[in-house]
Amino acid sequence: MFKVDAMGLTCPQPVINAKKAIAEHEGEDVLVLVDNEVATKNLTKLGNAMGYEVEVKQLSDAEYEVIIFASKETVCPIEAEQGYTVVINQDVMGGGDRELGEKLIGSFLYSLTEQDVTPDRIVFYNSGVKLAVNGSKVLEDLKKLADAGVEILACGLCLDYYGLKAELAVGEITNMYRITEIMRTNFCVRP
Amino acid sequence: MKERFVLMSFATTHHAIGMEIALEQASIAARLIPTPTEISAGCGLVLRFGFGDLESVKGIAAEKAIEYDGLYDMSKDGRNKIITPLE
Repeated sequence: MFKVDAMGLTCPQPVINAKKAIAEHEGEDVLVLVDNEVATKNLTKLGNAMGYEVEVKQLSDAEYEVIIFASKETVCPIEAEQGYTVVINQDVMGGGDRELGEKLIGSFLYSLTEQDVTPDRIVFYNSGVKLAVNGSKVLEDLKKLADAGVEILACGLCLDYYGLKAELAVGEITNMYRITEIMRTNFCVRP
Repeated sequence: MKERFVLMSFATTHHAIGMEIALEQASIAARLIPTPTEISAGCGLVLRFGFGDLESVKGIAAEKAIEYDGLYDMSKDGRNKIITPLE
């Protein structure tokens, strides 16, 4: 079993390190040590998305062990739950009247919090980033989703363009390389 | 995490948005959310606010002559919610 020490690392680093370890140590189980519950959820999602079974053990208050059984044959892809990414490229939903568009995007994010399966992540770019900054009316929903382990990613150059870089209230800043990779490799839902 | 709110339903989207604006002007925290399937209403949005503001909200509706359809009590515990009509 290959061991990855991801203690003290902030999201999404534990997931990135685990992914790398699985790729580099083919045929081996991978054990990841993390210090928070959100990381265990993200690692479980990673393992399941790759079709592996995952076991989580809490060792102490801030010490968790996540074993990704990458040595075993993958479970049937139909059994493995298909995750999804939500891509939000503007601060309204759909074209048409702006007032209605604002209500619709708020409704969409609210209902996202009530879905049986929440997304793996939400990516915001262009005016979409305005939803994740201080004063946004949908912060409550985004924070709820983030607490449930949903990764919230906002385009850094977009925040910069709108002068909102210091105002990001939930999630973290990402770049176009990551956004492109996410959109290329994941099932994306665009409201 | 348990939450409890009042939901106010309307006949049209314009009534719902009008009421939200009126509450914003009165500095009452309220939010439009999609109408839960348990409520049958003409409009797909209901206004959600705290129980403490119920009387003020009713007062504002009367003052601004904004008609509403019904009032409901929504208790939520995670994804489980119970909705019962008020009054």
